Amino acid sequence: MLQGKNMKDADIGCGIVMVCIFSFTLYESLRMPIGDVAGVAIRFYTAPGFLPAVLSIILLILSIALIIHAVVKGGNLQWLSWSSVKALIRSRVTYNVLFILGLLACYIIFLLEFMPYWLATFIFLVLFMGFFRAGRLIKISLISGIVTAAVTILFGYIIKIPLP
Amino acid sequence: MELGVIKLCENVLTLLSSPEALLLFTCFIPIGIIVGALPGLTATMGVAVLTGMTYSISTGHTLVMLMSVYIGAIYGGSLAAILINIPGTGAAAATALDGYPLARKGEAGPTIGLAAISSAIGTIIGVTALASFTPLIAKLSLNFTSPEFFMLTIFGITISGTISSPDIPLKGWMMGLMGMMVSFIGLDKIYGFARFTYDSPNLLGGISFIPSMIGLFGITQIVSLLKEKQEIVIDAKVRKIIPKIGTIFKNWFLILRSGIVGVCVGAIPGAGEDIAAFISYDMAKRSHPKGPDFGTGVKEAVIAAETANNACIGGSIIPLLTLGIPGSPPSAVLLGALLLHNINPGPMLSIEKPFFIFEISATILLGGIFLAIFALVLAKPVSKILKIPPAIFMPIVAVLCTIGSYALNLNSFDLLIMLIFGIFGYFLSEMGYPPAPFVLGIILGPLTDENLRRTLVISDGSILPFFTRPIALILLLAIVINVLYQSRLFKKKIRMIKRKLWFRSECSDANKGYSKAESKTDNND
Repeated sequence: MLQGKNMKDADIGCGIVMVCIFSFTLYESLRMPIGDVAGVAIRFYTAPGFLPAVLSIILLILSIALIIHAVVKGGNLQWLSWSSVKALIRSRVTYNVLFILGLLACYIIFLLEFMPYWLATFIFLVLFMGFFRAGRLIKISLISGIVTAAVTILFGYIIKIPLP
Repeated sequence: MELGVIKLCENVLTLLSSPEALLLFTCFIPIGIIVGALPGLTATMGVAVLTGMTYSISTGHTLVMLMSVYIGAIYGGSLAAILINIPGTGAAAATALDGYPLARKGEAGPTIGLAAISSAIGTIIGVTALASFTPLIAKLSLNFTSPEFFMLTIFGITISGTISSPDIPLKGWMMGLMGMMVSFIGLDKIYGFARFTYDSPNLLGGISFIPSMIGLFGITQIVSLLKEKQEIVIDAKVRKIIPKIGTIFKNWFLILRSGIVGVCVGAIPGAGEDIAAFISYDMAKRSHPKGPDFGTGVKEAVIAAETANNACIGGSIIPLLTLGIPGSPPSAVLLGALLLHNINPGPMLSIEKPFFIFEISATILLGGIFLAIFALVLAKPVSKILKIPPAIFMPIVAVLCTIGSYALNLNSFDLLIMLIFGIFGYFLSEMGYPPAPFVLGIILGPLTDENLRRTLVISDGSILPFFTRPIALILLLAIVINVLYQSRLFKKKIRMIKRKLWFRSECSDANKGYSKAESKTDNND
């Protein structure tokens, strides 16, 4: 978790993003049917957009309060400078996070869609363990193979749970 | 009461005479212990991943599997906490404070044994409260109508937000309300209008609960644990697991109090086992003679934390069964599992399935007993499993998460939901937003929406029912006090009032003393 001033800076950024999101949800909620719709009288308090609109307003207020709280505690937007962003992108932690999420996305969107489950899972495990240097390629391949076989047989054939 | 005891005993005997149930306890309590012991895996994640795989299994067996993993995982976190000072689950964070120093002193084995016995006793205290109080609260809950339910859901969100994020409650509240907003995606229950679906047929049914939980808890943990390479080093040797029984008997009051704390915290919506453990630890630190030494390796600290976190299991199921509001994140996932098996927790459960409470109580009771046995037997093997590098077991966990997410609806879209919530959960957790209120928000959102609109329809748009119905008014006051109490200005005013009252009572005591002294001197004169 972020600490200290980094947290305050992140709160400002997050608060701004949330203000945008909840402004959008408020707009969408107000567009939902109200009044006479296809012969049905919809009062404002029974309208489908009533509670989403109320919550959007509350969330907007809380997001603004969060931004103010972070600014008062010393947060700012200096982290948006090119040098800070470059340092963040180049950090090992960012690299690891992006790799994990990217590999998961590839596994779900591409590998499972176009390959048999056992092959997609084997490739996923080898790449994942390989990136984090869990051991030599032979060891990783062996572990991945055993896990893939175990999962496929246990869930697919013994428990009979359909696999992706 | 007598009927309840008879039903409980009946259910216990049914489970004991069922070979399948015994086999499931034998398999899933150890699985739960391992899930809890491995840093990065949580009870919530274990229950969530398993839930998706139980759709074709009977309700009774599903309960045994899920409760076994839940109970085992809450205890299992203490193994990693004691041996490597990394709590396996949030519930063991308080255990690490004294458990690890005890392990460094060469007492890893007896400390693990003490944690096991305390956890088992805590589970039994929790289930005793569950079986005793649930029927009473179920009767009270029949008085809850739409205004009361609406207020209760808002109270649940605000209290969960405050407790989960004590430094900045704003973040907890925002997470709860965001969870509610997410729950609105899909068809509106009253008019059937598609909200926030953008013509996507996959979103018409709303966001699937289990895949979103697996993403929020599972994927988030995988990323958090692997983003910085951590070496796990176990330098404590695990010998002599069985603790001195005298230690348990000597601390009977501490165990009882910790159990009660665990149950009470568990009954608060969204609070959870980690909060129960810390509150119990803190209370023991303030009141126990060895309190000043807490943090240096005191056994009583481990007892306090472990008893409370397992007692919280029973406590968190009380509001789940009586009001349909889960008391902790794992019980929130349990709610999803119960709905999957056509059991609708809430006030009507006591009428539709009056003895279900005792079925679940029997499962937890036996789970607690099996925990005591397996925890002691498996302490050494599990300590060896802890040596497996995260780079090997976390990818395997990712594969299990995909199976758990897909198995429920056989829909690839659920895998995408899991991924999106994983990304969302990771970035928000880095910025200090707690996930527990979000889970509660997703569950309570539909209830809130329905009950608010129903109340306003019946009262023709008037908000008076929220102020004129006693239970609704009490809940409203509780919400207002909880929210105002987070404001520094309000706290300052309360402190000023307290000081004035204390000063006045001191003055009046001083005056009484003065007038007594005066009357004495008068008498002497």
